Amino acid sequence: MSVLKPKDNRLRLLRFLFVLHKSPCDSNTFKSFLKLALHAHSEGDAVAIHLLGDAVVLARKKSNISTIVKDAIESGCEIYVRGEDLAARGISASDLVDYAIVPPDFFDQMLTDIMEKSDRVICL
Amino acid sequence: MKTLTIYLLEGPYTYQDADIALQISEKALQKGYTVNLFLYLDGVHVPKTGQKAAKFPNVEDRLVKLIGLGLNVKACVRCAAARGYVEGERREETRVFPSRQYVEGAYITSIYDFPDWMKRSDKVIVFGE
Repeated sequence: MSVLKPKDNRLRLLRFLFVLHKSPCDSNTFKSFLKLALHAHSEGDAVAIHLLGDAVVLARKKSNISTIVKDAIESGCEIYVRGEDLAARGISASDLVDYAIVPPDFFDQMLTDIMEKSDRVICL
Repeated sequence: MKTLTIYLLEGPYTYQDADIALQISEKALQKGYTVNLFLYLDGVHVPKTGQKAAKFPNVEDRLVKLIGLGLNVKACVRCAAARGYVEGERREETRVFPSRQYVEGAYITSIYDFPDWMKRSDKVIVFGE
């Protein structure tokens, strides 16, 4: 059984990719999910979060659930949001929290992240 | 080239899961990756022939196109049998259960093929719950 080592003793840092596509309003699971992301980041690992489908509403500036996303960005996590899913829900890029990235080709970016850049991928 | 396996647990036309899984598959195939799609629970509805979606993108048409591009598709036999897709005994030479209701290139097989795909994949992603 593996034992978590203190961050300064780690051989190398990992890059975690979190993919969220379910509505954050349906359950509280997303909070645990984002807390896990923040924890990984606080341990020194790199964290990227990809929001698509109903999960794009998480990145809305005026949403009362976006605080945790703001925390994630402020602590240095990368947040990517799918533009087509924003448009389908009438949300413009200016409605998003600062520093959220809307890539021109979301799936291209996401696949490169999944296949080439990340050590672990976690989906919800 | 690297291999991506997608595990889809949700059927089409209720949530976006099937659409997202197929869009990612398409992009991954375009980028030259090997892509496996394993269907479980309501995900086994995806290869059903004769889908006539009035206001949504047709999932069957998209799947057929992707199989043509090289997408590997397998479905869990228990889930498929429970939903009426299995029409006979397993063919020993191919280890596939027959179904005339499935599009060509989508195979009903054992769930044990999924961990086999996992072992051979660089990354596994899951859509549905």
